[in-house]
Amino acid sequence: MSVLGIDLWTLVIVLVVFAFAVGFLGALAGLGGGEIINPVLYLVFGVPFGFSTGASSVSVMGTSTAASAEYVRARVPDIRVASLLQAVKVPGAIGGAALTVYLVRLGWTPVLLIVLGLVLGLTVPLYVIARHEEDPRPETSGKPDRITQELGLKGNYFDQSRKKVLPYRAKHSAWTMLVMIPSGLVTGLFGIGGGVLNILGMDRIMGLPMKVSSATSNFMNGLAVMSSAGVLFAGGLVIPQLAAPLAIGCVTGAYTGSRFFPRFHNQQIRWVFIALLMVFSVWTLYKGVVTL
Amino acid sequence: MNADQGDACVIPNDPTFTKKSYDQMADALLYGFLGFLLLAVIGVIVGVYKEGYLSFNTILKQNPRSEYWTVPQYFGYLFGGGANAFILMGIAFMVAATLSRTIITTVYFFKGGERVLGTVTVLVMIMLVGCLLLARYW
Repeated sequence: MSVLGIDLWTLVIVLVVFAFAVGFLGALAGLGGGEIINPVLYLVFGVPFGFSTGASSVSVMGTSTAASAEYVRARVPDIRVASLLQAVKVPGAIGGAALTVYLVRLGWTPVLLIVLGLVLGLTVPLYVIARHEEDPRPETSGKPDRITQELGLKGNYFDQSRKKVLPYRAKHSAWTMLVMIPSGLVTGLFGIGGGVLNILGMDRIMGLPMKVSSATSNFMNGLAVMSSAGVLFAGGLVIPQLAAPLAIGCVTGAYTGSRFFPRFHNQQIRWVFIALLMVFSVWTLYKGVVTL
Repeated sequence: MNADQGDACVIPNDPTFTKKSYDQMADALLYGFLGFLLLAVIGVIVGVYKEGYLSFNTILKQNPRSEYWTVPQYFGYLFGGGANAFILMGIAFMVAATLSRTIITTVYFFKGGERVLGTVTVLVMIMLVGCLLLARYW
């Protein structure tokens, strides 16, 4: 099913509305839009796979820039943790994007589709096991490793529910850095933020509070997606007139969702996102296998 | 630890990253985002009005890599009302914002005596610049 034959006005409006909905729901569910935008562009809109990846990466860059501006002003992201982890994630993203350009040129799109289907499928259980509530751990829990101690990876954040500043301290930094390798690769390969992997690393392994993990993930995603978008652009996979309406819709949707509807954070929206991820995982896998 | 006076959240001050440093980063990101939004909207409107007769299939046949490869060509498209030129300029705003906040981070790391993280951030920026040069010459 392809809608590429319709006139440009209609298509632009459809793209903006679609991206707004994804950005809006993503903000409420605590996920970026890349995981939905890329498969929908390919499967529903009929956009060639490499172009859908380029457009998705620009959308994620827009969402990350807009959201980070808000979070940074509130001093939520941990700049030290972000600086350490992005040193691993950025090369992964550059490598992933270069691989996408190479495989698209070789005509190995079905392989990319199968991998995307598996990544989306894997995202579901990771998203389910991730904590979605603020549950600050005591500062003394867990023994910090050498990297954590040397770099002083600890900080404070303001907990809204308790109305007080809570301290935290990171641990297992080396293991978390390892998680950033696949996170960077999927960012580059598919133009998605890899937020689920980021948060898994920072929340589950590093032991940072959920709010700090989420904001730090957003903060460092900007740099990783920017580098992968540069490679994708070099490879001719970023079509500006496709990327712009998506980025506009996604950014305004995410802004509206996070700014005006914070009380709508609920389990039902997360289940809608999980259902969508499962559908697109199976659909993408199927498309990859039949076109192999 | 001392606290920022007048800050509603009263987050204890970090010796390296003060409230001022966070505000500088937030401003850079905000201006980048607003610049992108403005130019992207102009680009989309220009694109629809100037190229609205095209089907999207025609747009997908463009090769952005060759079309905007030289600076004079790029500005030619921009001043000629080229939709893609506006959108790419918007994306460049976001890139500049992200690079600015990374430079600010690096400066504060070195000012705060955190040389390891400062060096790591410099290395990431070198990688990024390499990546952007790759985008230009690949």
